[in-house]
Amino acid sequence: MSELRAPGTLRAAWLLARKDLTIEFRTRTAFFSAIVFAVLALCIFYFAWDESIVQPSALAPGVLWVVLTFSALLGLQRSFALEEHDRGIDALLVSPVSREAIYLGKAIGNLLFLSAVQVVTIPALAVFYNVPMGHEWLVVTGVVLLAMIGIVAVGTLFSAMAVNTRLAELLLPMLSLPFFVPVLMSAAQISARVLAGRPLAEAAGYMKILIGFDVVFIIACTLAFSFTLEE
Amino acid sequence: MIDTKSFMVGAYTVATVIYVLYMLSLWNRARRVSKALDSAGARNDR
Amino acid sequence: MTTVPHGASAPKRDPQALVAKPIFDWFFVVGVLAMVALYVRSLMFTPPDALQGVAQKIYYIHIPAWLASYTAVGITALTSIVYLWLHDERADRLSEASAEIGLVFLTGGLSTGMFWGRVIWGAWWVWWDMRLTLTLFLWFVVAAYLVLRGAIEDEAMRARYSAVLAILAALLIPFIHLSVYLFSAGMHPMPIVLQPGKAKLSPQMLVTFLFGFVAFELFCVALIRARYRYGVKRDMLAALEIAGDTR
Repeated sequence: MSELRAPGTLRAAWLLARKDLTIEFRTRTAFFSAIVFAVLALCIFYFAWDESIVQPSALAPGVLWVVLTFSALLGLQRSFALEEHDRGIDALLVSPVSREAIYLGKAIGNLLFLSAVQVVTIPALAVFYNVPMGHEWLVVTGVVLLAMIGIVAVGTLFSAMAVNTRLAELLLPMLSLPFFVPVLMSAAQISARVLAGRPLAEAAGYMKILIGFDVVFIIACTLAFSFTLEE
Repeated sequence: MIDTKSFMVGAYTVATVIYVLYMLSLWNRARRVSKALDSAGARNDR
Repeated sequence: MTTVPHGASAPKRDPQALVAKPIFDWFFVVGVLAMVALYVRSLMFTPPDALQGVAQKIYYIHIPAWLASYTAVGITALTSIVYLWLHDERADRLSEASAEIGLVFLTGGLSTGMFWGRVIWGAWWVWWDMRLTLTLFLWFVVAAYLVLRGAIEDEAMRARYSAVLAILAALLIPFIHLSVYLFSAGMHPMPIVLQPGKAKLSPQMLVTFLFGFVAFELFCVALIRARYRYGVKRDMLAALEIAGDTR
């Protein structure tokens, strides 16, 4: 009998995330195109500066965050567009899972999708921009993770809002980019410092902003999500 | 030394243009909606 | 301005007294006149600053514009909370009106600030100035808010979505503030050509300055009021059109 019980919030969220990732895994089109986009962008940005004036490794942190932002937007875009297709969102709404679980499930799915893209993009960045691979990359990976959590927390909510509007594709970046500002600014400053060999303590303030943003917006967006669904 | 007066005049001009343009846009929208409301009201009265 | 002779003919809706009222009334005229008076006083009857010269006169239309935009944006944030709480369409309409006016004053404040910065800092734009950067991002948020409103047909959904956005934006502002603060404090010296902080205001200048705040606040409230009344009429028109279609 216990299998018929409605799952708890976290369990339901995990089920939803797995559902999205399964759909993604069957075709892999979005994943593949996001990776190609990200690596392509890396290559194109290389030619945006004069190599003899600016060292490629000095550019790397900046390029990393620009590419991460836009590949995140690509992934977020399809998160709810997927449900719009056969009005899958209605099926989700009548299912016995809480709205918080729907939001968290979507967010976890997006986070895993984005992480998978970064697993390919960041090594590609290190190779193309000749960034030495050292222990500082552990810190950068942590910062990337923290930044992605913030980006996904806000982006998932706005993705749910944007699909119901007339401007869907255009509106998501417009809504989310201002919210990404503190995340990107902090993350870029931390990673630039760490990659330049400076101590992490120098960027402690930015670290606090990053963590604070994640905590505040995970809570706020989880609560706000129920307002974005039809009542 | 730059001519500070022209920058002062520039700032006042730009500010005025912004506010006047906004008022014109609001006035224009107000006129249109009032007109439409009048004709819609007349239609509904019939 | 034409007035609408009915209210009774609006089908199955509370007759709204505001619909009959003109959008531009005496209050609006007072607001505009206050602005005109401010221009005249600041340009003709206020002495120039000893250090900054006539460029300092930009202050009189610059700093009050900030206050007006913060007032308007603050009203948007508050009425958004009220909307999610009470689901009153008036709160939604007020937040729409004040967001639009907020954008107007933010634009005014930013552009006058750029002229002042060109004289005092020697550059049209500097990223290390916190207020400038913060306001720019606020401008983007308010612009996004208005675009979002324009992109949704359904009234209730539009109100809910935009209220959610406004409340999240209110949470965002402290974070942007903090990160811009760190960015500007840690990295750059302040290349100031003149010392704007040391400007002393003579009594005459102080009066102009205070009058500037009053004039801008009046103008701001007048604009919000007019925009709100426009919103009432527009919504009434939409309701009439829907009623006309279903008959």
